[in-house]
Amino acid sequence: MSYVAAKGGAQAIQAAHQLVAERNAPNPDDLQAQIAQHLHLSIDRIMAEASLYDRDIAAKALLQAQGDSIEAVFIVRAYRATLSRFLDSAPLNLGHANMQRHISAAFKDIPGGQQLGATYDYSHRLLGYFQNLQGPDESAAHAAIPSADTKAPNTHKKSGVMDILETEGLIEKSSTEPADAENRDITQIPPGFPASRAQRLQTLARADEGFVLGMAYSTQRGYGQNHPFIAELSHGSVNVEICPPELGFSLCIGTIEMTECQMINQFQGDSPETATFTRGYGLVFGHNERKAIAMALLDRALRAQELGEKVEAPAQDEEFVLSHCDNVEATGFVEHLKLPHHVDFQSEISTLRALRAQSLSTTARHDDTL
Amino acid sequence: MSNSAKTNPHSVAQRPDWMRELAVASLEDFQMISPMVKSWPDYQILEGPEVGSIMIHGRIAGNGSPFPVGECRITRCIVEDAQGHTGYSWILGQHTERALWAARWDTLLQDSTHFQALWNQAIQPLQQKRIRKEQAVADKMQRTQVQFFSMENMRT
Repeated sequence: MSYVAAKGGAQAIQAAHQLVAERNAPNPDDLQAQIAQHLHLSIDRIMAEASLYDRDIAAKALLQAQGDSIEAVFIVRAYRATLSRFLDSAPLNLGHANMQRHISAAFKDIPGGQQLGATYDYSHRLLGYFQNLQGPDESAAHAAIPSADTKAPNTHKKSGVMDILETEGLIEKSSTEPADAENRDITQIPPGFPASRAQRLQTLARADEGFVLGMAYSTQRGYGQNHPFIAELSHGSVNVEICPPELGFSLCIGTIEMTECQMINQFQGDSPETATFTRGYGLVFGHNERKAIAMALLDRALRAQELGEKVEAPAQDEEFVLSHCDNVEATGFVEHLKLPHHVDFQSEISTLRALRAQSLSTTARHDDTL
Repeated sequence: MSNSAKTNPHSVAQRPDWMRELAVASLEDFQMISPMVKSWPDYQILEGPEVGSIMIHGRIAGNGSPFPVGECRITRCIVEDAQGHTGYSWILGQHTERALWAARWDTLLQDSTHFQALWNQAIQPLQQKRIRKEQAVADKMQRTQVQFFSMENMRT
């Protein structure tokens, strides 16, 4: 894989760093609020892996877990189990989201323009880097390199890079078939194998970031290659809409932050006319680009069977990935080894002693016969 | 909703709009707008305010079939006022006090006698405040709009 060196964007990058620095500004409020503000990315990770969007609960859990994020996820999951489910939201419409960050690695010019948002992608990884940033240069604030596309305000207008490719017939069309009963919520109906794509995506959205990252990395290193390009990576606030049966109309009840990754992958088809690129998709609570990208890579790898590819690598094996990606399940089984296993072990040790004793006596008898 | 209640037919179309503003209004917002109501009708709580969850759904590849992404904590409240209007609220997060306020305001706005004045004095300012806030974030983010040049010949 290669990339073309790019230049430009110094002012945009400076503004992007300023946004990061602002989130680091001291706040005299209580500790939980400070955690929610300063460690917001950590909070976002807990919300995603606990599968419950609530900053207050995630901050409280992280504090109680003394910073152990898997423990915090466990606490939030346990709390989540006490909540009754009132209703389901309408599917989020990310096309109408207020995007704070919206970039494409596949196209240089995208409708609405590339917007960096708050990012440290271009920063030096130096301690204290953001404390020593220069204040915003007001004269430069409006001097962002103009282009026809970037003049229009970006709110409520997200480009459809994928839509453009879809119109040209260069990328596979997504199925809009309503999910059947088997595609329903894995928290209500335990999933089996083979799993549907909806079940896989729900499982990955709450999967451990480290696991998803490692598996995604393995696809890039050759264990189930899929030649990915990020068509769009976005982070922003998305409206939550519900349609309560009591009212019979739908309404927006607020916004949540989401990160979405649309990945373009190697093309497929029997002939050049029908060959299209394939899709991988990642959608995660909060601001978590690493997870969204990794999820999109893994989503694509797990579609191997559907797309007629050989399932050879671990990342393509849904039973392997889906059964091991949940950190609450994993930590439960791994850490239960700390609990007393005295009786188990006594039985093992007495078996071994008995075998030894038997072996000794057989040897002794053997010696006698000589 | 009982038939005896005076309901403004025009207000029904705007109900999703006011319910949205009430759902995101802070406690300070309610403290600010509530003195505008001269006499609050008696009300009784039918349900809540109680905390539960909703399942958030996304779409596969952004435009395909829906799939569940995860849950979101939510507070809901249902009240009925003396005139028979039923007010509802659903609010993201745990905010019982706000949920009760929002449900009471929902009953009030269904009443044609108060609707126009309260819409103008309370709901519209809340809406403007929300839009200003969203715009401020959008403006800030827009400073990070960028156009990269390829290095070979600095072409755009």
